[in-house]
Amino acid sequence: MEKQKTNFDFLTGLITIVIGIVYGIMSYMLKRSPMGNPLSPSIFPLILACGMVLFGIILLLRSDLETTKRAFAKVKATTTANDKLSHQMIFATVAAAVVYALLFERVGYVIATFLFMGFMLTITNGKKWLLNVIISLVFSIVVYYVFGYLLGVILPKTPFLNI
Amino acid sequence: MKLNKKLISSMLSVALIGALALSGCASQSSSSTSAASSSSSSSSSETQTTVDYPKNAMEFIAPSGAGGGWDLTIRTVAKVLQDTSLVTVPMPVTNNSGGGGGVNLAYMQTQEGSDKLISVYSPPILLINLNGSSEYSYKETTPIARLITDYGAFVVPKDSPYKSIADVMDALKKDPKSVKIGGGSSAGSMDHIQFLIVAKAAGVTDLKDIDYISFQDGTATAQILGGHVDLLTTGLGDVQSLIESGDLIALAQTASDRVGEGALAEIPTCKEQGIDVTFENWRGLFGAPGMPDYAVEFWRDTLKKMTETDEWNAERAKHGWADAYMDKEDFESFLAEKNEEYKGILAEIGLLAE
Amino acid sequence: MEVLSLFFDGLLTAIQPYHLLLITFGGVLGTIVGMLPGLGPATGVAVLLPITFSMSPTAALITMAGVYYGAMFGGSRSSILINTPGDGAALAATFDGYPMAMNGKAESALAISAIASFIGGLISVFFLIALATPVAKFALKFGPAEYFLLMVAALSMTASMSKGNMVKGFISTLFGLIISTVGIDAQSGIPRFTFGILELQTGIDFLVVIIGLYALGEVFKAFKAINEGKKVPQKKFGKIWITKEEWRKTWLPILRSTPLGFVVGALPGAGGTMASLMAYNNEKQFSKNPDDFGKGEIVGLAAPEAANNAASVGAFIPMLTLGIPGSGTTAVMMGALLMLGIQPGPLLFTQHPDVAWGLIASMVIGNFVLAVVNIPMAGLLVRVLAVDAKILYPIVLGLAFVGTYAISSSVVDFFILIIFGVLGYFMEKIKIPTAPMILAVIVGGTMEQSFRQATRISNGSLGIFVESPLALALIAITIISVVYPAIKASLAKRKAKTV
Repeated sequence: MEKQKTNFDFLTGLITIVIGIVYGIMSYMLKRSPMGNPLSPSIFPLILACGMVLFGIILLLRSDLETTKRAFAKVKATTTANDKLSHQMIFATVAAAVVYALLFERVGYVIATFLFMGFMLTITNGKKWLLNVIISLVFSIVVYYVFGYLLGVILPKTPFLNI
Repeated sequence: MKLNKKLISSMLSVALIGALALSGCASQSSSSTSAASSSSSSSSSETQTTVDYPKNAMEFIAPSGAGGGWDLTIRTVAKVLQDTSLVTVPMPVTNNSGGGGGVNLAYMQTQEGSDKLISVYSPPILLINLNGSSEYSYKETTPIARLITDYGAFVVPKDSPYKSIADVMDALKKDPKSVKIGGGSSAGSMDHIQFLIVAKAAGVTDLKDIDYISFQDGTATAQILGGHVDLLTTGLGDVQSLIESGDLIALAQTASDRVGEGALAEIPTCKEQGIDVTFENWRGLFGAPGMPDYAVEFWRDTLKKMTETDEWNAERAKHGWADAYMDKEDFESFLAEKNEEYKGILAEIGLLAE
Repeated sequence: MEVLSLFFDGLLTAIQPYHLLLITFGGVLGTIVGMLPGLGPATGVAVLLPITFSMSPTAALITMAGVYYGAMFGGSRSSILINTPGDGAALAATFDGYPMAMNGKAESALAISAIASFIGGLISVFFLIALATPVAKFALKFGPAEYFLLMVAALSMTASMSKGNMVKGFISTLFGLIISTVGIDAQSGIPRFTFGILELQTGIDFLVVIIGLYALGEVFKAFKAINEGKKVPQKKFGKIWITKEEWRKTWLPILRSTPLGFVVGALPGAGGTMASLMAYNNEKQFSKNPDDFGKGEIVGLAAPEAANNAASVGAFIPMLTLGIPGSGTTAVMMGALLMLGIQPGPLLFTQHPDVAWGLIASMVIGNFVLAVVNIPMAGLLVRVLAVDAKILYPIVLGLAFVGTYAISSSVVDFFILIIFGVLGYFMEKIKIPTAPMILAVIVGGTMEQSFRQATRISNGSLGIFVESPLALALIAITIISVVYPAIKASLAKRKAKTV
């Protein structure tokens, strides 16, 4: 079997052009400056937008659709159970991080972090409950005090307990 | 488990170092920790907290980079409050620069109701709203007190062709593009306006065509030293050492009578040079919008006490600031009055936003 | 001669036990703060501010300086060990430092990082003594046009030398510049691309971008290895030192990178990130085996490390000689000096020679102290590599979030962090280099401002960008940086064909 080139350059080029165009339109729609040249806040972004489109086209011309198609086919063919599992883990991490961000200021640093770390450790470390609980608890409390009292970074307090 | 050990040991070492550091100012650290530990019982009753406010670190903000007038003012306030033990909790100062103060004004909106945020501002808090660069006005903050006033100065490099402020104005009358004006504040804000007010008084007509270049990352002084702009409009105290050393020459100051000592006192006022105008750079403190009453009361009271201390007066003398203390209510009507005055000026020079 | 005697007076000041203790304390604190993602030297120095008010000016300044170069030593520790730079200046240390650690050469990596930092820092102090005034004068030649061109040069160097192809490097750069336009525009005060989100008005902090791309990206990549039950990269650790062979390879790059870092650091606003990336690219150009860069080439770690410490010393020049802070950290230090009643500027050396020379001498002492402290500390830290990935990576994640919160106390940054974590993962998949993007996010704001300042000074004419010899030199550097690698690559291709 001949080894064929695979890359995502065609797709990358397309995405680059789309970003460039959308960003360019948004730049043009910006509020006009009240003084000096009214377009002055838009000029630099417009230059960037042109650059994106230009380099997107260069990349597009240098690549071809087939290579990218092959790359997708290859990804599909070589995706193992492990890859699927790690994608699920990434998804779970992102979801957990969003929940963490939402809880952060509502339930305070220590509790939010304890839950988040506990969840993450359960994903990576499995159901070793005692170890996971100890690590999450120690981490959240130690970080809370080290940042709050030694580094001057005040983290959100736990409501009711006020610590 | 190995990790735990490592983690704990490294955290312990941090703690040890921290303890070492804080031993240098034991009074401050012990009082803040005791305040924190005693606070857990009284959290349910918000109204009674006047007694143990402030119990946690304050958030003092300079809306500009370090080294400028705002930064120096709020740091000096923090230092005097600490030295005189009027406030015993930590008052770390952060620099939240950008947008001529507008970035911090926007940030203050996110901290609505905060009892720990205090920021310093001066004429720009009105100007950036009037010229349309910030959608927030001083009304979206909690004014606490006016403290001091400072004056502006116009400086040129030592080899500049301009020997007096009149030379600059004459050149501008001939061609408004001929003198490039640099400054630390954003366009349409203080440094820019103080120059335009003087130019207007001197009879320059094409105010809109004068090029003002904003250097907000503290590099304005380097730009005038390097001769990349022709004139720098700035605060009187900001370039003191470079005037003393002779690297920069001050053409005028905006006070009605000469202020300062030494080299600063040798700078002629605009009035002396036949331009009948003054510009005051007053500075005051502002809390976040909706700052709770107990916090406002505490700071009104504390700042009044502070301005009466010898330490504060010594600092004022050191930096050449005139006393301009004004309590909350007076300050608010002063702000309303100045807002109208600046509005008129901006409208005249065509920079007022609709 | 007078300079020498003043310097020795300074040494005597710095070596007093009290000051020596402060230098050590500052250095250790700086190293630790530098290692934590999101916390850089500016934070470390700011933490100290209130404490320093009760000290003498000399003591305050040398403690803060200790934190500053301590953080420069420490920032790259986490770059090497967990591929997460502590701050912008430590970014370049991930390129080859982390691969070295993965290849089982963590001891060498940590050692060369400390050694290069030490040499770069020490030599720069002597540059500072000898050249402060001429370098300051040179820095003043940089007007807005020159700043703009300098940044263009740095960006195009990074884009063209990055892994993969040059076009993708430029796309990455442009994307970074786009990110840097988010927030209130400083020249007109108009909010741009904020989508009505208040927190975005202050812009997207480059540190959040770095932490997202690196720390989160690293965690995402690690999942696969965790599932495979991959063994830890190293269990037994040797002495933290380098071999004779490694020293033979690195001494010249270290010496070359030091003056480069020093000069770039002395430009107000340029800073350590730009210095270290430029040094890295430089050495890659010089190297006979540029393909080894990014795969654990020790030169690729030594050069940026020397440059970033040299830059941290260079950054003192504008502050000491002109009273202009050259970096975020020196800005905080200048604030402290003003508070203590000392006005930094041209008269500092005549009015307060004890402070100025005490500080300079403390840098010499501080470098020795940090080298001595850092080697054993590295011996301890290297054991991070023996921690099971299943436990290490959740902790990295936890630190990434708390470090992000430390930057601006805003939960909105968490979402930005997550977005860049995912983005980094996909950029890696489609092979777009991330380093040019990060540099672009860091310098983008200043770059645009410089462009607009320059065109306003010139009444809209672009001629200002070719007016001065300095501007022309910077343009030449930019062109060479783009054309040279292309020629080199095509020559190599032709050679490969003929063989």
